[in-house]
Amino acid sequence: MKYDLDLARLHLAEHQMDFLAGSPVVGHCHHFNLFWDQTMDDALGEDAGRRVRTAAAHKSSYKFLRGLVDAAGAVSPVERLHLAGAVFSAMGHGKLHLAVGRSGGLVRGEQLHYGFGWREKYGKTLTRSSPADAFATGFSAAATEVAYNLDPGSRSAHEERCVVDGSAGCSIRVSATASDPMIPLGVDPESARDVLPPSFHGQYEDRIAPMVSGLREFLGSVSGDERGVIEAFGVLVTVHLADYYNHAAHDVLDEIARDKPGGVEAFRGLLLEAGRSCAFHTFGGVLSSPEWEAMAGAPSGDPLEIVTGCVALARALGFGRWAIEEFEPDRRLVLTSPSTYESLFSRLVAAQGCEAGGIFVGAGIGIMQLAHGVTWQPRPSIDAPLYLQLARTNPWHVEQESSFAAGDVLDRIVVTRR
Amino acid sequence: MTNTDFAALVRAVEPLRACFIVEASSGALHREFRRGPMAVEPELIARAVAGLARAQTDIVGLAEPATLTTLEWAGVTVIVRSVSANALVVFFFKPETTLGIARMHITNLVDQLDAMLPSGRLATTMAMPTVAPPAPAAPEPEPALAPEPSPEPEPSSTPARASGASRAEKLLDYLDEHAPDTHAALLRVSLQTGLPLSLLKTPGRLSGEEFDQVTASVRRILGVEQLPL
Repeated sequence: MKYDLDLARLHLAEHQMDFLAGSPVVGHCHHFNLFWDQTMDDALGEDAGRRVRTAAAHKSSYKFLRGLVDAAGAVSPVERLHLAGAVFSAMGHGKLHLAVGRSGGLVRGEQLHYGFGWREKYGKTLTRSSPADAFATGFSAAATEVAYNLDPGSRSAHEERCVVDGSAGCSIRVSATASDPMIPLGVDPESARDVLPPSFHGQYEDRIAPMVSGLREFLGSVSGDERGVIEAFGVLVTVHLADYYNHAAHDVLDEIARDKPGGVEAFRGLLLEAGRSCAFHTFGGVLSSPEWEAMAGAPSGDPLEIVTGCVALARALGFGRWAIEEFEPDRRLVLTSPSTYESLFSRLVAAQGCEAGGIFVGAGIGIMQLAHGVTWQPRPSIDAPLYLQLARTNPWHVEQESSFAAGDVLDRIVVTRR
Repeated sequence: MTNTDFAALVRAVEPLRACFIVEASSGALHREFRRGPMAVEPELIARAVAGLARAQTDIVGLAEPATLTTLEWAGVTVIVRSVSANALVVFFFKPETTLGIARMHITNLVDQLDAMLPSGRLATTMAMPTVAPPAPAAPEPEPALAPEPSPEPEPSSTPARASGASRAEKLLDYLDEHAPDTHAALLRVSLQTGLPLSLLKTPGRLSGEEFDQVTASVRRILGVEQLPL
């Protein structure tokens, strides 16, 4: 069964945010996803990190799947489990065989995004014994609960085998043991509309708007292949639940602010780095791809062309309606947005008065690096050595001057030369 | 500039087999990058190159920065380049590299290296013994090439403390060399241990307990039980 994501998609055009079955979704690649999960584990340790990530996946997936089965009119457990597996694959997370009953069971996974992605990226250089697929694990617990109309948190799951340690496949055990108490809160379109300020135009809209349309048309046609994998632009792409990232980051921030305050600066630094990784690998991967060349022409190397392309990509991936307030090549970039998928969650759900994320600030740096540190003709290799080189020679500094999460009217960042 | 900064810069130049930065006045090795084992110890090469450079400057004079010499040495093309008043860079290119290509790479690298090197005296962080203590009886090179007396190391630390500092620096250098996403590795250590970044950037100040924490963190990041240090 192949699921068409457009069946459940809602696009808030004014704010460039996407919802699937009432849950916000964004596009992210395996470089970003692995770095993000790794940061959660660095903060808390592997076991506690995996627990928090699994809980975040469980909460966000329960809310998502509940909305999905309602929207699809799926009534029986079999229908619901099929639907859950199909949408999981369509989103690029791999294949899940959900052989579960009311009390649980065994879920077999193939090409699960995190394990598969980790093996692709690090398998030749690192060894790892702790399983990687917390998202699939939490998703499996939630799928069981939703299929059988069980209370959220009444089932728990853990990954018993994972390909990261050389196993042939992944398996996840769902059991009737209750997980931690769970309230599946998250962002929904109605509350988002209530709180989001009006959007506004930035500079170069005449360039950006057509690119967003073209990109949305192209990305809308992208879906997991028969393996449940989306391979595009040199990366493994997922359509991911934004609430997953946000729940995990806020829960981790709570814990380290309480137990290990000396680590908060590094935590924020690594979230920023995750944002830079996203800009480099995803934005850079798209801009250097044949698909982009067909749509917009090969980048000439003009910094403005790169900056406008990246802003269009951020919008098309559901990050928010990013706009260019000011751009002076080689000197300064000011980006604004009514909010991002991170600051919206922080304002609506976490209510901590601060953001736990780094997509806007990190991507701001990454965009300037792509615009000024990469030779675009001939087509560059968007690879690890270039990523490292840009980090080592980075001349850019970023400040967040306004934060929607902290109560300001918008998000605003300023990137300048050091 | 850490050794990792240096390694990251030169590693990207595929025809380079090795590259060293040498303090011209003393012949001390400041930074090194090697793709594989070399038949001759880098410290010996550094001293020899510094001696060669001094001899050449004495004979022909030199307007810096400039290429001092080009030679074929043990099957590789070696080019010595002066990048500042007191820094030499020794490039070892694969034998099939044409001189034109080598010079092009050097031109690209030297500007960046020059900007990243401190003015004045260079720290000799890489020239440390791995196992043996620095016994005074250790064989020294001939007096003409011996390092000049240096005013910089203050004898205030105890030998044990100096050894601890050296171990911590080596540990973090090793992490820099081997970690995935190496530019973010120190942030990861900070987050894992809860130790502030400012402390990790001066590893000589780590206490014994903090050193153990950092060691555990490095093992975890690299996914190994033991470190070859």
